[in-house]
Amino acid sequence: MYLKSTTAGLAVILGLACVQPALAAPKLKPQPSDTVYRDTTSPDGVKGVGTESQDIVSMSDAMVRDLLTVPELMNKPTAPRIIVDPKFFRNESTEIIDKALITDRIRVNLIRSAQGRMRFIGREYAGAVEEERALKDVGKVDVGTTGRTRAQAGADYRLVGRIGTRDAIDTRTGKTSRFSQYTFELLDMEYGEIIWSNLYEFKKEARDDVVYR
Amino acid sequence: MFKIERFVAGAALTLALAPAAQAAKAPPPLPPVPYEAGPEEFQQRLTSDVPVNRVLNQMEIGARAFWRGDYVMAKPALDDAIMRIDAVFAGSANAANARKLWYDEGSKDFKGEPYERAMAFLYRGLIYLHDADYENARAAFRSGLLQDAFAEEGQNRSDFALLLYLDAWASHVNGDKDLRDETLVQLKLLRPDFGGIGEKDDTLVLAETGQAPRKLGDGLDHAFFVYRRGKPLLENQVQVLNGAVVMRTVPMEDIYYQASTRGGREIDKILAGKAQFKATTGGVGSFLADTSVNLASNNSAFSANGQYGGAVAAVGVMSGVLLMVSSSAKPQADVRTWSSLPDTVHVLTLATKGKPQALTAHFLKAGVAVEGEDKPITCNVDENHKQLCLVRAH
Repeated sequence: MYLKSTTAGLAVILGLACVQPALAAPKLKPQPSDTVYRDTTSPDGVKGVGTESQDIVSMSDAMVRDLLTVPELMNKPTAPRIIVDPKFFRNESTEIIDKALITDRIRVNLIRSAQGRMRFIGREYAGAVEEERALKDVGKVDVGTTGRTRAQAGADYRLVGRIGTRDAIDTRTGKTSRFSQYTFELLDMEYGEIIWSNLYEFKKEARDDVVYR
Repeated sequence: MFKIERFVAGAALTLALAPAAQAAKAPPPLPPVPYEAGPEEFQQRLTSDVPVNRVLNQMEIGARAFWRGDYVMAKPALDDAIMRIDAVFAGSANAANARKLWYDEGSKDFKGEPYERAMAFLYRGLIYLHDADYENARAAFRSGLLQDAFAEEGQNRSDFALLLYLDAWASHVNGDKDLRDETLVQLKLLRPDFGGIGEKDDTLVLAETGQAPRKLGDGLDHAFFVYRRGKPLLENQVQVLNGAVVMRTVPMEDIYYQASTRGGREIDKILAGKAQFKATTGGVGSFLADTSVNLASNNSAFSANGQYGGAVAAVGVMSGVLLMVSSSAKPQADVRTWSSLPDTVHVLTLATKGKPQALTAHFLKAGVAVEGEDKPITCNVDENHKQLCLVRAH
């Protein structure tokens, strides 16, 4: 009788084990979900070791706050002219990134915060300006309301910088680690002096599932 | 006796549920698509195929559209694949299932083996080069190198010479000579015979030959796979013709070598355990089945109507349960493969002063010209007067 009970118990366990796959059938079609707005400063729902929206918001806001304290920019009787675009913001990292996301945010927030104490040159739009000036030159269009100048505006300073990363992978555990460093500098466009610098850095680690190692 | 009857009834119920267990099985892989068919079949599969194959389908679309020159189609496909390759799947239900006894490895979301992931970054980087976004091209090539760092065999980690070469080329056309030279030093360790990039070179010729490496299930219940070269291998050398001038390309990367030298995978240990379990339960089940049949047929006391007939029946049912458990275990390794990759990639750089070139490719195998006409090489000059010239043998 004891033998029978044991056998029966074992059979039940085995039976449950066999039924499990049916109960845990994979959801081959993921459940759809409504689009939801997220706070741009919140961590990404999709995990990785790259730059997230919260990093872009945090770093650009930090740079704007710091730039607003630079005496060469804020205490000049004549507002200095600055170029803030991605052209000389070099990406030397392992991360594919749209650099303009960072420089655009810095420029927009600086323009709004500086309240005229700095002037900003749209050098990346120089072609558009040149086209309009050419039309004015030949009289195809009138001079507008602000009058003509001899040339487009030159800049006193330009935002330059570099994106760098150091990656490490532990093949034993599958853990990946990335140190990211964003360097921002303001370059004097006449003398070549760097009048301001700041860094934004972060390090992220992640470990993927063992089935991908 | 009553307990035995209940046991038999329970076991019978279990057996009745067995077909339901098959619901856990992922759909069979879809048939291979010839390279000439282009990306359209895979675009259709994006909606009809199971979501776990999404990256595989995007890789196929990306490569096939890239070689057709349809970058508008290739870009989002490769971006989507890369986004999912970069995402960390820790906590994913499908990844967890792939470790379970009842699911084969193919039930996980496909990300590809390291060489396949690296090639996704490579093609995306080439499109960045085409678009004159050299910095993101370099970032893509470097990201591809990181994928290769997952190789288990230390000497084969980050030895993807083609990605190093393209990293150096992206720095070269971007004017970052310091970075170019740093990378060329690393490349020299892998390809000592490579002559380097000329200071005035402004044109990159990239040629692909052969077929993608194949993954073939091997071992007990195909619990691991082995790589074989793609077939047929009609050519393995490329000459570039510029009028009467003949230039030899450098075979910079053997994709089959990259695939086959990554070493064992962590998942292989799990799959081996599954295969062992399947063999053990199957063996015990078969033994019990044979025993119950022998007892029932050889001795009246053990037959169904004899004194111990109930026990014999229970052993018989038990053997059935074990055999069903064994058949439900799925130790098969994942052999889904990016089929539109080449066998070998050849490169050449030229100084053309930004002038469009009329180049053709002449294919050879072991120094002997292969049958068929030379192929025209497609060259595109970007906004900085740098050229990317591409040709694929078939």
